[in-house]
Amino acid sequence: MDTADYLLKLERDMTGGFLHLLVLDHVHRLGPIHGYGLIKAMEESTGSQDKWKEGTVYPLLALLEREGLLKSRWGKPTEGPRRRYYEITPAGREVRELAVMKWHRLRRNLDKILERDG
Amino acid sequence: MSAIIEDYLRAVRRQISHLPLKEQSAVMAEIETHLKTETKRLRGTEKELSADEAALRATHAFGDPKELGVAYGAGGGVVNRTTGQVLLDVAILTSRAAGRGVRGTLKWTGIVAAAAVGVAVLLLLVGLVFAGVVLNIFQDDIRESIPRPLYDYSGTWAQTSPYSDTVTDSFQVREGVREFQIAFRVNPASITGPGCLARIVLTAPDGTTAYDSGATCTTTHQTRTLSQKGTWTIQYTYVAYAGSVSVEAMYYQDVRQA
Repeated sequence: MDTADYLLKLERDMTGGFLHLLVLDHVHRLGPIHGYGLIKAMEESTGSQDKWKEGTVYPLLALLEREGLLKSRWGKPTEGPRRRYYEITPAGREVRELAVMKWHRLRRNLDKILERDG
Repeated sequence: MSAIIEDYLRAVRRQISHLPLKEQSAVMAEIETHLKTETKRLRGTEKELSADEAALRATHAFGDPKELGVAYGAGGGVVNRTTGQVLLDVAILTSRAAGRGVRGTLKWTGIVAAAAVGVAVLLLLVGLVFAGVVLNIFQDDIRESIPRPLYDYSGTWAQTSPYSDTVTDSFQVREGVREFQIAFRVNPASITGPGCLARIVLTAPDGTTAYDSGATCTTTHQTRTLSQKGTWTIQYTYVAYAGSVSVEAMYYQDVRQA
């Protein structure tokens, strides 16, 4: 695997690791929102369309809903094609805030280590 | 709907067959809407794309149906769980604390509900005993009529210039199989250049050709019912441009075989 391929794989792995937080954050800011709209919003805000397979997001939404962090409802037939709209629950808001704090702490620690190593 | 999206959805449905039926329908509805929306968006922004080319891009961007099936599994599948596990542990602790306040209120409602459930369970047990008797009498017929998965394959191809590629696969038909049904689907996409060929050849264990779609440029949906035991070989030839192929086989047991 050459350097460019490896870097692409690394970037995908890093993004994939924080997909839960990305999804929670976007639903928190933009909800109620359907899966397609959420995916496009995430692609726009992360500046890329190839960091993850779009199909990965839907099972994640289902998982977060099972865990009580999101809730969903189906759109009315008059609103066009059959879409499921997601919004964050109070538990999801709490988890998101804690996760953001953990992320900031992790980033500060990583920055210190990387600056120290030059 | 594009045949390419139809084939893709069929492949996804096979991979999520472990989910409850209601959940399967919900997942399929979401994915179908996503793919149709994305195909429409692609054709709106890239005018030169044909409907099939846009469908191929949309299904490719969505991902491998097998990986989707894993992702919809009990463990959450391919989604990286390192950070996710932290989030979920906190969520579980939060929901337990909220539950304590609710339990007291539900106590008396629960007692009334339990009595109603008891009567329903008794009626269900009587019904199940009767059904069990009927099932015993007709169990061989029932077992022989249940289709079971034997083989499936789906593939797409998209090239900008003529090329040729052959994929060979095989599956076993064991003793105890009464017969199997195999369905072939070839969906060549709209032609963007000269030539459009795809071919499926199914060879029986005795070497005879059981099915040959011929070099075809037209949409093909065919079904065969076969019964020979042994190793079946199936060869897919992709030649030029774009399209999708899917093959699915289901077998029926021979329960009364001596």
